[in-house]
Amino acid sequence: MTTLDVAGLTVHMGSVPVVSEVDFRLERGDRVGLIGESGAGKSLTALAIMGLLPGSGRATGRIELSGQEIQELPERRLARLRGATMAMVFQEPMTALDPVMRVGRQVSEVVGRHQGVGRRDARRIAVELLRTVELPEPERIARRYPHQLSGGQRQRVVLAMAMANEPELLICDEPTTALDVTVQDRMLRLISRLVEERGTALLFISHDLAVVSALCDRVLVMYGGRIVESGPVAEVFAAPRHPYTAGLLAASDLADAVPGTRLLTVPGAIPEFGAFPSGCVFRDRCDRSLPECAQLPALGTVGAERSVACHNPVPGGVIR
Amino acid sequence: MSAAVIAVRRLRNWSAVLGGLLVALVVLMTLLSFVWTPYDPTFVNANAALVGMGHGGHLLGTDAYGRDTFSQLLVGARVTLLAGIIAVGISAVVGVPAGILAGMRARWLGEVIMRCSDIVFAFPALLLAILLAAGFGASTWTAMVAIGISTVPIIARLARAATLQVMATEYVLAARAAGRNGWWIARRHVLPNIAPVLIVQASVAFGLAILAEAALAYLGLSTQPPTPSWGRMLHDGQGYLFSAPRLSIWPGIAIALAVLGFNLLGDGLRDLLDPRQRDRR
Amino acid sequence: MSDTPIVSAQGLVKNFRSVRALDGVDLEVARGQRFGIVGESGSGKSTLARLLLGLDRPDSGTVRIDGTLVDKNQRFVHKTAQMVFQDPMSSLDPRMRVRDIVAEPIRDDTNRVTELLDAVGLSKSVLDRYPHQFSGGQRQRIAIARALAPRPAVLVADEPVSALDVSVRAQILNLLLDLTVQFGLTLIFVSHDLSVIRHITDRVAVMRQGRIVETGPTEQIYAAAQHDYTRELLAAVPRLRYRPSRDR
Repeated sequence: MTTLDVAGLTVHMGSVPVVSEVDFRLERGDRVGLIGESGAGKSLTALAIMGLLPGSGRATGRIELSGQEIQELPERRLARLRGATMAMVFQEPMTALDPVMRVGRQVSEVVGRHQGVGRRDARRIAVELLRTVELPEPERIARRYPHQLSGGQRQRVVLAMAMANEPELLICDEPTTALDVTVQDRMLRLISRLVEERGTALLFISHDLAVVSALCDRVLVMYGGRIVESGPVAEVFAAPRHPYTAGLLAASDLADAVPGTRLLTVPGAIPEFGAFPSGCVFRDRCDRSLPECAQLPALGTVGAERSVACHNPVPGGVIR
Repeated sequence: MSAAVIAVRRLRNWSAVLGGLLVALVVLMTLLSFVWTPYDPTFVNANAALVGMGHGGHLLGTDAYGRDTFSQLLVGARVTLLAGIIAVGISAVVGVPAGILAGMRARWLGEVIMRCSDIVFAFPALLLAILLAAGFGASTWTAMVAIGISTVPIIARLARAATLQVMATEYVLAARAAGRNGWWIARRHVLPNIAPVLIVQASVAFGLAILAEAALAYLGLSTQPPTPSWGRMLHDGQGYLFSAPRLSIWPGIAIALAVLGFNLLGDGLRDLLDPRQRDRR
Repeated sequence: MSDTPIVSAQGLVKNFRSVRALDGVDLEVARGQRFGIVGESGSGKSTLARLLLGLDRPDSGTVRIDGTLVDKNQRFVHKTAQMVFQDPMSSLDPRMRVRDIVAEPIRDDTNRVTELLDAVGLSKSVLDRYPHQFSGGQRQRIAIARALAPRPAVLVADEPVSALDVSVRAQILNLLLDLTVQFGLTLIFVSHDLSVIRHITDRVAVMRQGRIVETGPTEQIYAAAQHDYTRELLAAVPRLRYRPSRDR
């Protein structure tokens, strides 16, 4: 069963295209990683799906959530889906929580709003949810204010709110970037367990390839607002075909590099929105670019489940 | 950059220009009043009392004593400008350094400064104006010194809050690591970074000072007759609100435009001083 | 002379209100070493970095840089040891031009500033630009140029790459490695990221709750950590499960 079907999603901020012709699909229980550098368009893709684009943002294309077209829905009906059918966890848990409301009340409000239960029941369910996200002594935590919790505990509360109504789609935007490694590790295990138990489709946005490799089955690589490569994590990471994916992997792979030596990297820096080259968006940073890269490469299939948008893909994925 | 953002930015520039023009108008009126006015603004002429606009050579008419309204407006601009400059000058000269010092020396010195500022804040401006008027005789100066002193705590508190933010940044830490002293940090990092909030606050304070002068003049605690000020004119005009509304309307418009001008100029200056706003592509 | 440590700390204790940030830290960093300080948030690693540069005073204990007591001779410290910070946006004054930022530790000298920018891979065309006109990686290069301005012997880098994307992180790590060789710098690298620490340092101290729980050669700690906490940290580091084979 398809949970999320995105086709031809294009996002403009004012007149600048920031996400272009993005297609992907999440089946029930899928875990898909969306990777790329900051400024690649990952977060805007997620916000477009949630219908939460800021100010001058405007999306076109088709977004289907469990068979229902939602891209054209009026805000009032979309708001009913958010927090119920689809939910999102952001990077900074402190700003995602209301600092002057006890966390138990914040969770029970989400429950009450969508499940139509009384205050008492909502409260009881909220405590249960806090227990589900493995917070110790959930009754006591429920009475605390956000600032009285640690960063990891706050992010668990946010996750509890996101999972409160058993959404079919969970979008996480860098949910562990602000956390310590040991806390991140526990948080990732928790997310993994929750989505597995409930069959939730997971779209996990991260710039950390190691985290994505640990959590996701499939990966979408984004650059310049376009998907440049996609496929099963195991295949894409073991044998990247797009030079950008290969560069990201080389730069990430500190464990395989000889300590104290220079690391392989992607040369240059990601341009600002609107300043990407015409044709292939990556060609000005690419050491494999050819004259035909002035033409935009289509996202073509390579192998059974993989696609790459490149005129001169890395052969077999070996980094030179 | 989106069309909407560019439009907003143009509008901001435009409002800065308009603000500048309005302020320039007040300055021009002040300067003009020193060299030329159509009539002596304090000349009482019972035969020409309450002449309508455009009659008998009086462009904006005359008041109940036959004084020429236009001449009074021109001379009144002096008081308005002086009022703003004294009040904002006092509060800035005292409040900004006090606030910066309190923000940079957060321990006991900062505490002492802020508690003193609280005491001043708790002291009613009106009472201060009365005390000064009793001591030195009521004048524009006593009124504006009172207003200036009573705005010091507001400016100081704002400057301190902004300074605390700047002091928490890593570029201040980097400056300390570079061996720079507090004076350098205050001058090169703190002041430029807190200037925008202060400028906006100063322009608001300028407007408030003009209004306060008008209010104190009304109570007889500021500019003394026969010297005209816009506040006094407003006060004198209220008795004729229905028979000769222009006596209230003209000074009213003058005050409103001057206050608006300073506020628009403040907003514009804030953006002009910010390199991030200046050259957004 | 060369066998005396260039940075040494004895019995450092620092409290913030009632919280003990540092609880008796001893440290020795040899000349030319690339020394890592690793720990999670609240471990006291950033507090330690600041104390080493005399940016904050310990409640007790002493820091010596090149044999000189840090709180006795601030001027000497600022010439000998410099710092690079985590967030390259917050560490550059948004209202200063690049030329003034880089020249902050020295007297204004365009030639020297151009030379420094060149060392970090920036052209002199950036001299009159403001921080917001640069990407995160470029800003960190500017911050590094500023730190190098007084020709320091010691460079303390507090989480210099944790706000950066992976590809930029690799560029900045490469730059730091190149600079330590080129200028014979002693590098003290503070991070929560054990994989980065492993790549860039040759000796490491693991911190927890204001104490150093384990210290030793980096490879040895990674191969056979003695302390439970170090092992826990190592186990939690996310690893690339799948990676391309490389033809070397």
